[in-house]
Amino acid sequence: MTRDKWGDVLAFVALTLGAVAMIGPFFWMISTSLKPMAEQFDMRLIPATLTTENYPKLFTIMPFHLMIWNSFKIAGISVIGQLLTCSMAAFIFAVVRFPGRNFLFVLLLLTLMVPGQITAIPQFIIFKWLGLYGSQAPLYAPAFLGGAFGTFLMRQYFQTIPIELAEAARIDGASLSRIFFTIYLPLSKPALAAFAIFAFLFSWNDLFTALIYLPSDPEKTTLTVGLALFQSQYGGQWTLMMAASLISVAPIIIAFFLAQRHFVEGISMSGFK
Amino acid sequence: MAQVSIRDLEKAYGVTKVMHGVSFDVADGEFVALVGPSGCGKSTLLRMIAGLEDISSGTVSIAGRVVNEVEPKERDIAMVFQNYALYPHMTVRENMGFSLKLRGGAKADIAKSVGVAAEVLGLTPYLERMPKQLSGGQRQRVAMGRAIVRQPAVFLFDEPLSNLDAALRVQMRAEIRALHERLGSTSIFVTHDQVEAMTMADRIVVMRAGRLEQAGAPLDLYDHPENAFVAGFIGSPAMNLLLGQAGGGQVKLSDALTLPLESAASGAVLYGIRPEHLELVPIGTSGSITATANVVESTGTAMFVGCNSGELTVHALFSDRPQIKRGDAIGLRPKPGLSHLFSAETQQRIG
Repeated sequence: MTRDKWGDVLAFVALTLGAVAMIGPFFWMISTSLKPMAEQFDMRLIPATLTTENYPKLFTIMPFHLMIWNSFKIAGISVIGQLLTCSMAAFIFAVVRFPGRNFLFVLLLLTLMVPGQITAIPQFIIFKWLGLYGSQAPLYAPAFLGGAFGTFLMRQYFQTIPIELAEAARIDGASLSRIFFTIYLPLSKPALAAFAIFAFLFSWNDLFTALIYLPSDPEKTTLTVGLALFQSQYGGQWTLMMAASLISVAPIIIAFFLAQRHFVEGISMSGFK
Repeated sequence: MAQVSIRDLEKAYGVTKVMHGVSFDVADGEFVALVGPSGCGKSTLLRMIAGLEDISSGTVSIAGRVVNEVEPKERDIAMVFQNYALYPHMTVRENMGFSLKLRGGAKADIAKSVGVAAEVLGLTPYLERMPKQLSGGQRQRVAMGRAIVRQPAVFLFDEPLSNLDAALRVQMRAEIRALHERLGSTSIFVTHDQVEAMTMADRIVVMRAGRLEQAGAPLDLYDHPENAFVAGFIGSPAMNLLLGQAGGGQVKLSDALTLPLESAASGAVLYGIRPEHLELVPIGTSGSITATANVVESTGTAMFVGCNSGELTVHALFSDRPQIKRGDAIGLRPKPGLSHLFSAETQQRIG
């Protein structure tokens, strides 16, 4: 065997170990969620007794369906807000030359260094002052104010589009917004798909903000808060706990598989790995 | 009337000045080529005419109107880009009709204009294709089609042929020129290839380092270059430019070599003679250069010989096929009346 082949074998083994390490707990979660309560500490990967009783039971304990819907709604609106505002900002940074452009861009990137916990209190005061405390608005409204990560990601992608396209369109008589909507956005579908998943994940997994603004009302609150409450009350009941966890990750896994091709393309093309 | 008029055009990025007062006119229906080495500012100049680049000072007028502050779309120009800049997600038809659609033209009118342009360019069978399904030459035609459907007063070409292979380039050269005649349009064509400029243009504007070196008809530039730069840039293979001392009707090029001069100039000069203006003479003929051939390249139509005479390197081009081999000693004599003389100091023509 040549050196290269040994390298391949090593890489294959390492990646396999990595994959097992990643997927192992996931399988364990599925397995536990399908066991009856009495067998929850039974160390078998394939349950001795297969049952789906944990799932219907979850919904009688807590209105998970409402929380799933809330999470979906909030994440969906956030994705729309982020896609729109971040790609607009990114377009201006990528295409329009104006004084102070680089300075502003660096300033934007610096906001990535500021932890959310620091802005949480002023943000809370603002939303309270606006009378939005207790509503879902504080969870999705900020998504309409852009964001450093998305702007950076989209700008990297826009920069791969030849600037001549924008110039040709300008000579053809297109306004900036026209160039954005009819040239740049349609050409950026992979990056938009990748960013949409990021934004969805971010919102879907967000417990911190939801805990601040929507403490416990199951009519309004999100799945993450629901899970946290559930854990505090049924912490010892692992079969139920795992079933609830599976419900919370399922939408993300489905979304990823649907957009996988775009996602990988978008990440690799924006040079963002 | 001048269709495009450039007056004292300057361009600066911050404190760095890249264009130092360029002026020239392009007459209605004229085909003008802007040539120069890379970085000479020719593309910047074209982009300033198009309105893609701000003008630091001076004016650009199109059809008698100063357009410095006019948006590109209002300038009545169309531009063909080096990389074609076709919209990759639109069909050929949509690419060509985009500007008309933006102007709010009726669907039927757009279809008609696009149809006519496609007919002219032989693109009719490809109208529903996407740009990536086309060959380089076809993309080039689509880019031109996009320009001609707008029926602009002026066409701007930014090195449109540089991405094509040699054979296609020659073909497109003729096609662009034919199209220019047919539309009776005014064209400004940027290229770094002086052969392209010579073959296509009515008039050539030679630029270097943000300055206009000379403007004139192709053969005028070839016959009477005003300075050593133009002399060396126009013509292929390039003119021999030999440093020497002039005086007394002679120019001394080296200790061993003195040639007769038709000018009374004196002092340090650049003696210029085109490779094709050297004739083969028996060694020792008066007024000839004795040299050793060290490069012999024959293309069939012409024979290029690179030779050394002492320290000097001289290139010669023969249209017949003299029997010369590498290492042969040959005699070369400048044909009378065809040499050029430039001041070594100012580089300007002195005879």
